[in-house]
Amino acid sequence: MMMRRALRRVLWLAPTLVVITAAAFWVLAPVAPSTAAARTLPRFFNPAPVDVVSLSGELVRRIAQPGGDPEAARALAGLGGAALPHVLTRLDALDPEARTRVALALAPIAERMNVARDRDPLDPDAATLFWTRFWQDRSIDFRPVVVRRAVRRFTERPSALRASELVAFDTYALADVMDALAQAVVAADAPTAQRLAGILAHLVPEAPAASEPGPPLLVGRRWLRWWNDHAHRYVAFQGASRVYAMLRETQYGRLVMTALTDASRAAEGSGTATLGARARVTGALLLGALLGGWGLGLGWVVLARDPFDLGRARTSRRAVRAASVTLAARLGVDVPVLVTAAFALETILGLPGLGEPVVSAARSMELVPLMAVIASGTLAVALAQLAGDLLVAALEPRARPGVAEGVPH
Amino acid sequence: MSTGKAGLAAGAALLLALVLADVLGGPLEDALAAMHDAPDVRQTAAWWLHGARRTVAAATLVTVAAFVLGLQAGTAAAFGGALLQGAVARMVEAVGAAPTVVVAGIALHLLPAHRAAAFVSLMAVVGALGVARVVQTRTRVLLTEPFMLAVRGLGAGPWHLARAHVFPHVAGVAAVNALLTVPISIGIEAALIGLELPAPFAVSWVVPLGRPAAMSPVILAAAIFSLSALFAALYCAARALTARPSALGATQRRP
Repeated sequence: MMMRRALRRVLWLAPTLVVITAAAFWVLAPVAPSTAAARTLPRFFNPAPVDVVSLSGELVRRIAQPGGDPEAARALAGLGGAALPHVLTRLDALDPEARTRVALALAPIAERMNVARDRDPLDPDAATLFWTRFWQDRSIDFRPVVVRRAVRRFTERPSALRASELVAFDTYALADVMDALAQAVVAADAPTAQRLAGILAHLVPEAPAASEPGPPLLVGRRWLRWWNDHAHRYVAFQGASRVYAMLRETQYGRLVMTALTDASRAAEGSGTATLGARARVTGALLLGALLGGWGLGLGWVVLARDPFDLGRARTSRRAVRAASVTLAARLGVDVPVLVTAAFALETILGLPGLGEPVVSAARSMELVPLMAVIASGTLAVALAQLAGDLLVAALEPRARPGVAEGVPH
Repeated sequence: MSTGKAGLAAGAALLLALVLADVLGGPLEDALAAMHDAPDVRQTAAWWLHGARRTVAAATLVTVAAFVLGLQAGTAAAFGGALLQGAVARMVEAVGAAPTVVVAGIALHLLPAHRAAAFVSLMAVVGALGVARVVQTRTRVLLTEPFMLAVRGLGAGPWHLARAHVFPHVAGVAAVNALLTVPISIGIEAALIGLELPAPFAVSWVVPLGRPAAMSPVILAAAIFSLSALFAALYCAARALTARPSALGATQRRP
């Protein structure tokens, strides 16, 4: 009965975690500092997620309007190769003037891909023909399987030729390059991360990660964080991925993905290698606070009950047992208080634990670390409650579920 | 004079002093100045009275709310089956999702105009959840006692059981656990101040503990003395509550 109940509680952890983190996000998001772009997204559900198809369609429409739209032309060039399958196939539907404007807007992409052999992409008379021929020749290459193979070949046996193959896909290769970058987590992967970051800096020179120096794995992490926020611009959402994007392309979805990226990288030891050491310090202090708190609690409850009766061993044993049941029942409630005690001890003793980054995040209301704290705290409290219930059941069999209702056990 | 009457008289005197804090202790500015300068007697008295007003009032509110809410919630969870027990457990997980000092810091950040109320409410909820968990466990044990089985056999409903038989037996343990909320809330307030998170009160007995280096030694000593006296009073209250045989739940085992 007890084990079945414990198993049910463990199964309840996942939905509890989702509900609590979502509620915490709902409360914290309005006051937490975030980018303007993130604020434009819906908080929890996005019925019409923007992707490269809708974005490029909108940009083409704006460029095709009489007089054109230089801002849209620049944005289309920024979308790069990822937009080509969706733009070039629509060229025929445009009138000749609009077609020329769109073809000219694509000229920077041709330069980045190193396919602009002549001045054709910049020549109003030749640009449309250039892109029509380009698509006739290369459309067969713009398939996920081809790009994936090119990225794999580049990561396994890098060479200038294979790098130029990737560059020729432009931003169409971003998703697979990011997948490969996500695999580079240990020190031995640093050269691969560096090479992939070099390709990314060429493909998306305007991204902040392209210009910030640092160790290769840290740079790779910056790129992955950037990708969390910008993937939708380079990827088409179709079928199941569209349903996923309805949840993913929200403020909450972005935050979860960023937290997961950071957590997985931190767990693997890149960038925040001191996290484990900090957790050990806090864990040791928490254990001390738990034992100390248990002792104080026993003292409080036992002395409050029988201050002058401790010499009578039988009564004392019963008092300690009764007090232990009380403290075990409270365990889930007391763990967050004891963590506070551990944080305070860290500050007083000057020890490098988790308290400093957690409190710093609370001071500045940084959403990602706070949500990570809330998720891990929920898990810890749920497990502490479970442990407390098992302890209560061991110390006081009559408190087991079903006994009070007359169910035999 | 008996201990109970002496306690009542002391409590009434303290209450009167707290109500008349502005008249007896002077303006709040004096209390604030006392913490940072070398205070004279008048400023120290102002600090003590204004601090007592907030600390004792917060402690009283937290204890009463934790007792009332926790007792109700715990009994309801014990009688209400898996649904209500699950609700209490989920509440514990929600409130304990982050270290209490972080939850309090965020709550006070979100409600800058009502920091005192937010802090007292949060600590009352934390205390109530602790009381509810203990009461729930004690009630489950109590329901297996022979006298309780007999009452149930006679057809008594849950409401009668709770009112006539459960409350008298679990009130003591609930009160002791509710009193435990006071040291917890004092510790959390000190941690908030020490960790430079938003603080609920500008003046209280706890503020000097959070910033001991910035305080005048007189005020620090007065704070430690006052809080020690408060803890001693809490202990006496817990003793008085548990002096009755119904206290602490495990009554039937008393030899």
